[in-house]
Amino acid sequence: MQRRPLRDELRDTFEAMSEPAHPALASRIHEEIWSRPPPAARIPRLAAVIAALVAVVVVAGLVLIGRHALPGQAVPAGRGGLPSPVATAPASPAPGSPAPGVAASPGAASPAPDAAATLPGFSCATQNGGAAQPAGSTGPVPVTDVRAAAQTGVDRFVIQLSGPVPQYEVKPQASTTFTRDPSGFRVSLEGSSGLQVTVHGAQSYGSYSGSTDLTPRLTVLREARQVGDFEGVLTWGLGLSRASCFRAYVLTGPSRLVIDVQR
Amino acid sequence: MVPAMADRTTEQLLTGPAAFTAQLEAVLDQAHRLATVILRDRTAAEDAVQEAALKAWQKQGQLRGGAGGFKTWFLSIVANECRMARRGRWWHVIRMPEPTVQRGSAEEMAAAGDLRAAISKLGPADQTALFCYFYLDLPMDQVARVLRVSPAAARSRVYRAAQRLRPDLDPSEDL
Repeated sequence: MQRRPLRDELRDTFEAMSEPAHPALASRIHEEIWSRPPPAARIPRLAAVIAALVAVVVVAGLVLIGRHALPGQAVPAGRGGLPSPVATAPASPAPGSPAPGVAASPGAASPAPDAAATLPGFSCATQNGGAAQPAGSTGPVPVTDVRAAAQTGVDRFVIQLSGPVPQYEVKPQASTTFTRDPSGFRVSLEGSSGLQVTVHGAQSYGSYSGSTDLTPRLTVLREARQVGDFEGVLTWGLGLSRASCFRAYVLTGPSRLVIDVQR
Repeated sequence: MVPAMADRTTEQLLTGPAAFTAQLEAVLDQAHRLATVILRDRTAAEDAVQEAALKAWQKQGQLRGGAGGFKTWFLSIVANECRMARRGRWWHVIRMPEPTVQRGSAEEMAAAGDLRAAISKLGPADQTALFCYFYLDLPMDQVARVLRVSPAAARSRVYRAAQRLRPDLDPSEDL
């Protein structure tokens, strides 16, 4: 039997295994390039290396001269007599109580609502809640499923976990551009407004094998994309067709974080 | 087009972000396809192409080869970025959308009729060579520019890589 020419076979295979660029990639690159100054005339590399070497030699020489000039003096704490580093600023207070004007958000203490009557009201401000990780916990809570669907009057986004929902924050923003964690690259989703969902103490790597870029294209919720899963901090960006109020709450059996976006 | 004219055209085309991004967008699809072939992960491919685009913007003064040179120059940056991504430590913890569990060499995969798996087993340079020559239909001298080797070396790389996929390859058939 005559075999197909390799060129044809390879062309079909490459077509199948590669993907064209997402339109958002071009606009992201466009934004990045426009936000940076045009490349300036470069200093010749050799000159830069020589300048750096001279600087190192000069600094080393000054340090040596300083030590010899002051015999018997103990070097103060900190390298080269520099002051000790100042302690870092205290950590911001842990989220837990809703901001003023924010509707009650079910947290760790409140039992999980299991009926529509107990659901919190909608709010357009940042909402947070969830349980603080118990002492001796073995690590981030694994994510088992993520989904989005239309419900009566709302578009719903759900993160399902195999343990209690840890502390979370749902923060509205005026654009659909999110920063990827940890790469720092920016990613733009469909829509004109966004919600950033951050879960502290959850991880989808190794437990969630579904899509990390959901495009339900609902009335308000257009796209949901995982923008971070690093060191126990899970971040999803939601692209909305317009700024909309929402409610975030926890359900149990199975444990899940639910975000309802008002249509 | 005479080379001098081509150089001038490139110079005009690449001055300013608008002109640069216009050039870039013309090759973005091909660059992204190359990155997905090498990295087999859409997110990683997007990151690699984005990083390559920013490097190209910063280093556009290094572009040589006239108006037609942008494509091969940018593809070579993308291929290099993908190579570095595969070598980098983060590559080992990136989750693959479709975990490749096939064991065996490219030759074994090709013999089993699974060309896709066989290509995945090749190194980035071989993947780049085959992709540019067979899929993008670039002439051998442009493949060589992407790979940053001589045309003769590019030709032998394409042939060797193709032979790993089809050991009974007749050089006159496709090369």
